[in-house]
Amino acid sequence: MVAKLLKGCHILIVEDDFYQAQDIRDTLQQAGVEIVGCRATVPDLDEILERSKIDIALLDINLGDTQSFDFARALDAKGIPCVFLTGYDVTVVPNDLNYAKFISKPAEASAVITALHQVHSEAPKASGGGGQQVKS
Amino acid sequence: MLTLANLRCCFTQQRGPGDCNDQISRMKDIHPHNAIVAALPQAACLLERVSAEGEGAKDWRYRANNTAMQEMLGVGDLTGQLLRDRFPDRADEWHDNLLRAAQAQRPVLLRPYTDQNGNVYEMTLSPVGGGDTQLVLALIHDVTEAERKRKERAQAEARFKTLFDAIDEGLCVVEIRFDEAGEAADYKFVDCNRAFEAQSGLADAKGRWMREFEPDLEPEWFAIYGEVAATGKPIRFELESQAMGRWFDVYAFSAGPVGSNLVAILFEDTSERKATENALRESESRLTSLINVSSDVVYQMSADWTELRELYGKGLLLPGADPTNWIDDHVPADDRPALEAAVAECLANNTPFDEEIRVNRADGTVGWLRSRAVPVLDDAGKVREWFGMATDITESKATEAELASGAEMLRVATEIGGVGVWDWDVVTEQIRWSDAHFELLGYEVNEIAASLSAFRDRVHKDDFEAVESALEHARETRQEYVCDFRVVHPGGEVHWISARGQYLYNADGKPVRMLGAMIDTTERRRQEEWQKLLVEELQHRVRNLISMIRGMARQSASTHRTLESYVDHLIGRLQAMGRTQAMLTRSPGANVDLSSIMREELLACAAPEKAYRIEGPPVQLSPQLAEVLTLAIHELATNSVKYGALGDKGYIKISWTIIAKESTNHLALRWQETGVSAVTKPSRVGFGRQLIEERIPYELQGTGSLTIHDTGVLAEMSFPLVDGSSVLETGIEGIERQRGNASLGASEEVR
Repeated sequence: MVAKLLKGCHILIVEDDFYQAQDIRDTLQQAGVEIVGCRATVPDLDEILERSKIDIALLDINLGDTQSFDFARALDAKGIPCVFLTGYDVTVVPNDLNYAKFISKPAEASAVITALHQVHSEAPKASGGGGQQVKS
Repeated sequence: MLTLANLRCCFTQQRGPGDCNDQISRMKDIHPHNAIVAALPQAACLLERVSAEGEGAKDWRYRANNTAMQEMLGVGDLTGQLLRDRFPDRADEWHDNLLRAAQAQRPVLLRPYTDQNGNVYEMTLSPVGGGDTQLVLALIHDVTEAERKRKERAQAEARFKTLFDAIDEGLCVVEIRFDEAGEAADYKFVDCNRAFEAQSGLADAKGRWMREFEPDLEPEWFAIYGEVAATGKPIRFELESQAMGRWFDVYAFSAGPVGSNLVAILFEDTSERKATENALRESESRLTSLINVSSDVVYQMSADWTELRELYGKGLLLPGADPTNWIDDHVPADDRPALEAAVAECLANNTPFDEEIRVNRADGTVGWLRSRAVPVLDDAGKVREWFGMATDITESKATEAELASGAEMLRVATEIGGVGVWDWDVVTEQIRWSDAHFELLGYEVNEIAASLSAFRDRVHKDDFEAVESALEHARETRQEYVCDFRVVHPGGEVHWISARGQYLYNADGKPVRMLGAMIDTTERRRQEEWQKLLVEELQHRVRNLISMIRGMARQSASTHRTLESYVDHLIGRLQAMGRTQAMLTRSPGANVDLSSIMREELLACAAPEKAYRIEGPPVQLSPQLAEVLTLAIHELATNSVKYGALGDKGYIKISWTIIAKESTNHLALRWQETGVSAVTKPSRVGFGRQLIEERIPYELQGTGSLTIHDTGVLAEMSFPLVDGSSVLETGIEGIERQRGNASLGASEEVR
């Protein structure tokens, strides 16, 4: 079992494939993650933030007929870090988003958790909610 | 007074002293006067005045005359006759002279007298005796011949003088001075004609010595004239005197007997002619050299071109057999008519002949000559002959043909290859473009004049700097110019151009010209980009598929009690996915027919046809819908075989309808089993239920439910019929659809 490294961490999953989404969700929940949402398409960010804060967004790049880059930018505007989990090569990530962590599919659960943990511990706690409007 | 001594003198002029003494001794015997007259060898007579007064005062009588006189005048003895009787016309004139002579007591010489026959006489009248005797001796000389000679001589001399001065050549008579050693040392100008000064440049030379004028005159001049004086042999020569700065054409001849040292020199200053001659000779020599080096054949044609008079072929052409049939000897048969026509035209207009003709060469091959000929005119302006020169251009002709062929090949190659070629004169800024070059820049061919600015106008503004610096770099480093840049066509269409070029430099190292070529690489770049994209996409799909199967395998795990069951089901699901893939591949880019999916899945689990019924309008499913639905039907059918209608004597009714909701069509599908005897209720949430109740809402934004009734399973699904792609698609079209409008990352812009 993976240690609950990500206990209490609020994570949003955007992955268009149901089975992969289920797989990741199960994996993260086992690591103690609070799943804020698990969506096949780009969700309404404000709607989610009304319910919960988001520590990290785990994004598939290809969402059927759209990509998640614009959503990543919107997240960045709110100060929310994102991690890409995708079958594409890292070169497809636009330059303005290359600060984001990148995980190649198919990924080991441990690789995903490690990456998310890294991002989570790097994120400055003070400003962690700076751009987020968390409503209780 | 005539004395014996005087007479003696007269005699001595004609005869020797012995004869004179003899005559005188004979005169003593007869009347002295008559005897003297008779003795005189020349014509003589003695006249005595008739009377000092009265009628005969102006008349004279012949006292004596000699036979010489009678013979001279053709008369008999005149003794005793009167002068006036004899010569009535001249009596008065002679009387005056006789009287003057008698009174003067000294001889009087009369002017020559010409008689009616043209004979000329000269008379000397001498008084004879003394006192008042008026006796005169007349000595008569027939000087007719002498006078004629004198006149002739005078005339000749006058003519000579006129001639002397009239001739244009310089003419002088010089007297040579020889030194003690017998060498001619100098000469003095005795006489010079009028032209002398102009021809010699020596003024007032008469009476002066040559060395006074030219102390440094070359010794050979003296030697030559000395030789003429010494031998009397004339000489003609042309010689330059550097001291005098002139060339002379000289004819020198003796002007007197040998020993007189007189030499006449007839000469002409030929400096100018000599200079002209030299110039002409040089010019001719140059012309000859030029003709020799510049032409391989030199020829002369008769005025009408019927005869080849001379032919210097330098071994290139063989001398022909028949000069009047030169055309057959030298020109291949096929070319003769054209050549004859060209010749005829030149003859008609007297214009120079200038043709490229084929000729039979000495080595047996046929070569090419560039032949030019001009008419040579005689003094009357008529064509005397034609002079021609020809150059062997066989090689250049061959090169020309090769070049033309090469140029044509290049043109064809560049046109077919769409290669734009430019030739830029860096100095004059003149530039030439091939047709393709215009087109590559989005111009119509020759729509505008090719120019550097016309090129710059079309270069994409973002690439302008790169192009300029690449040009500069190539120019400075002498390396090849290589540049890839975009051009914008008038419609805004962007094309990628790949250009390569090379500067050419003059001897001073200055760039004078630049040649280059360019091609449109837009399509190639698009293909490369597309290929890159395909690889990316393939990689993505493989990874995604593995990831998806892994997820599916994990989700399946919890629903099976035994490993065998798990493996069977997992393989069944993978096979269903395989069928979806096959179906999507069969009609790539197109949607999939719903009833086909149904039948195929039922067939896959060996469901008998009578055990089910399918009802519904034709519906086309997008790949994504097909993927999900195929797996859903697979689960339902598999479960039915295992637990339900297909495993029993039950019946399945599959039906669907289209429902319009909020401008989107929704598919409502229903799977209903009936007549199942014993329904086994699965205790846990199975894979199929999860698929229908969770996956459909998650992925397709639809609804799904699976319920187990007493009669069998009822599954209901509803979802919007929207476009969507599947990870199982392998056709290009799916990728295009998915990636076409919103391409990824680096492929946002072609670079």
